[in-house]
Amino acid sequence: MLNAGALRRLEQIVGKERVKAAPEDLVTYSYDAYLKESLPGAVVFPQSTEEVSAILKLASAEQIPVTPRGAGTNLSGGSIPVPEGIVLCLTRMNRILEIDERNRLAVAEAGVINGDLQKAVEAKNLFYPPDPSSQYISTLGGNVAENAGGLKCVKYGTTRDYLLALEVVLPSGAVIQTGSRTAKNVTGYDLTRLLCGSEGTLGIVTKVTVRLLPKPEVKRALQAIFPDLGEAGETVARIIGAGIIPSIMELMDQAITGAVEDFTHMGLPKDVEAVLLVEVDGKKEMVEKEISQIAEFCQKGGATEVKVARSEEENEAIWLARRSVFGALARLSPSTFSEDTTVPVSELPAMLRKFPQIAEKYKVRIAVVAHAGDGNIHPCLSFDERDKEEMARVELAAQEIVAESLALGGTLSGEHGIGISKARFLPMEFNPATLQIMREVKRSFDPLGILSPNSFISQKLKE
Amino acid sequence: MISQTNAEGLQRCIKCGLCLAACPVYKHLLEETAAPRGKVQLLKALQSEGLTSSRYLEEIASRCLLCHSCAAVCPSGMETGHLIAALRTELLQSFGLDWKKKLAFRHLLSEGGHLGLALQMAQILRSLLPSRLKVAGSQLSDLPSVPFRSLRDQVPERIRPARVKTTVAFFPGCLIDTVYPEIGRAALSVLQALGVEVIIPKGLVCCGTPLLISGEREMLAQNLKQNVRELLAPRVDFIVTACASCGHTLKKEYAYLLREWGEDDALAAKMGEKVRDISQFLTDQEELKGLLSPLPMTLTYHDPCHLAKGQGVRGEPRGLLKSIPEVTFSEMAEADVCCGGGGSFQFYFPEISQQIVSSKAENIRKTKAEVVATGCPACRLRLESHLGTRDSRVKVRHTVELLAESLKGGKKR
Repeated sequence: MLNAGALRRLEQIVGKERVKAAPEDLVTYSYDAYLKESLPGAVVFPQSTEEVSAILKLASAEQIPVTPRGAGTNLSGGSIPVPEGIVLCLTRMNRILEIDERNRLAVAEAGVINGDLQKAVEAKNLFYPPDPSSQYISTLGGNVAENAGGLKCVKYGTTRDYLLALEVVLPSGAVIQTGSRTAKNVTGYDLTRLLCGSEGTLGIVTKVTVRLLPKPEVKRALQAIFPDLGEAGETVARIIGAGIIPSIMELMDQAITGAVEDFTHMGLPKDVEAVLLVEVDGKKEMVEKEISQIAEFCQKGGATEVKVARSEEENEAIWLARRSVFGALARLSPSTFSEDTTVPVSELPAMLRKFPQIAEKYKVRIAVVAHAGDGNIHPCLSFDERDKEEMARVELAAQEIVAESLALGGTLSGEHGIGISKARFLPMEFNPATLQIMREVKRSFDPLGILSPNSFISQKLKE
Repeated sequence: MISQTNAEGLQRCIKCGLCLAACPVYKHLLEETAAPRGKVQLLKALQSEGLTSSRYLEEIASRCLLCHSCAAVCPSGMETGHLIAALRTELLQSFGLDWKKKLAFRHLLSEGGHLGLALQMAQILRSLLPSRLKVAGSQLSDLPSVPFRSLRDQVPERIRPARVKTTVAFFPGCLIDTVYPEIGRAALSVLQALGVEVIIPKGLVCCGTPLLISGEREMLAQNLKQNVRELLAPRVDFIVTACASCGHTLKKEYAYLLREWGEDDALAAKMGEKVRDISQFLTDQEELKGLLSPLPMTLTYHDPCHLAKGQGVRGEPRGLLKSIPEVTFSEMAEADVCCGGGGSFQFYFPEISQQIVSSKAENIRKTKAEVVATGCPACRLRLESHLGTRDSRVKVRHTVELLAESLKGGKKR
């Protein structure tokens, strides 16, 4: 619980209406999309950068932990608060301030929903590519903090690749500006990129300036069925190696395909090891040419069936399979946790072969869906949280996935963040000197250590 | 405490937050207490005794339109609507019903209730009040006048066309019966033209939707059982309704509720399988298309929550409207977003409801349609008073009224 004095001060800053501390409010801010939960002391909804700054000044003076939060779709637990702390929720700072067509950029407050920005810029024939599967609800501030990715990263990169400038409030309450409205900028340290993906540990982003692209003319999807998972992986590596850049390239293994088929009854074969889904976008002639090249790679690579969409409806029908993945999985067992390991694309086939072995070794269920084009793999572990013995095996399997991925030159997380979910694995990827410099970065931004108490760099919540 | 069925349902939430994007109330309040995910977590906390009943929790629980938009997008297939209704029932144990609702339910919606009479009285009272007075954000003068005779007073219990092809039971529902009997008459005339014999069992009572959304289970159980009996008594092929909410409750909720109460659901399930929304039933009548005459107008269509999300009926009404010759169909943006009515929601939270219906009205106006069709009398009531003044407004009509109009034109020509 927060002390009465601090609560009163918060009310003075934003008004009584925007401070919530009833038990009912606290329950609804005790979680994000990760498994764990912990009640906060209070929830505050600032509406301006000045208010965020005043709240952080108060928090610094009283050494109150602050957990910044957008829509709470964080998959790694970084938005889970602590009982003596404040949840600083940015959903009310949701104005799109500017769409500059001549410079192809947009300026928006941190609480703007990703999908709302996409819709607004598309109306002007522009395009904001980052599309995490939470796109219709997650906020830009959260996307920046987690460096959110999505399906289109193989061609368009992640949130980081679209950031031009940020307005950030430091834990002390000081407001800083990073970057500029220019396409090029090498002035000083690149704080924009340091803050992006910092998981709310260094400062609270209040305003975001993003780069936009012209909207692609057309897009076309393809579905290829592979009896052999390894061959599907090889085909992905060959397509990328041939210089083709699809806008999306997704791979679903047998377990996922079977679950999706049981859920959607869309006619997917349940006896094949992989389904590859590819989309190409751009100018019409180019798209036609590349999609037939990809179809050829698939056929030569061992695909038994290749289906190219001929219309927008057929495009949609193909993506229905991918969109149904988590729904299908959620129905299979009480709990599912999606790992987020990422390897160099050329190592994708090798990594894909490991999952059945790991599943066999620890007697756990692992279903694999991968953003194959960028090497980002989501092995989904299904389990019953109440079964302690099963949980122990799941933990060992997760650790082995990390070890195997690192051995192939991979990394712990491609887009979900480390948070509290994978913090224990950090020493497997970084040597002590690397971890030390990260702690020093944290200390120089947040000397009192009040920001994001549950994160990869500090963890108050007990596992 | 909550039932076994609901307790298991609660465990399925993976807290992904996708329901927030679908929730019209969350989109306006931007607070997790308004979100379906938040309410599920609150029910969990209540169940595990981490939280106790409170007036504030009651307010949170009532800040839901029960539009089922969250359930429609939930990857885990959660029936969040059922859980929120269960939460309301739970809270009712502690606080009881609001006296206004208690009075209304007991005297208007039960067997032998006097909804029609009460509305007549209200009509008289209304004429004495200033017309600019507002109710749930609508000016009194913009609300429809209540006809003097209800549908069931206007038509016989059994309507036999010259040649009988099929026999159906027609469930009018309170709003069509008392406020919009013209929708009922339109449905009956279309059915008659198609050679469908219609029975309206005398003993039908309110389907119970208002009771269900208020968490009032005892009276709901009485109405439920009586309706199942009445609808299974005559020998009919289908049970047809023109009210999205009644249809959803008869088709989906009755059997679920009985299971939740640990009672035998066989009869209710058997009854539910026969229920068709009028647009579903008419889509299957192939000769209808040949009977339609031109209706040169621009139309758009609003998806009632209880039809689109509750029953998965989206294509049928659009297909029927597009089959009318010379109709220009203009799809609106966010056609399946709630109108903001939500039964008593609009009276308890007029400001939120007002914001939601304003976005809806804006989307309707953008289509430049002269008429917005819909499949629910409650949506019609909510939309009508927000689409301009009496003279200049976009008209709101039930899909079946437009079909009846088109059929009638055929007779004239």
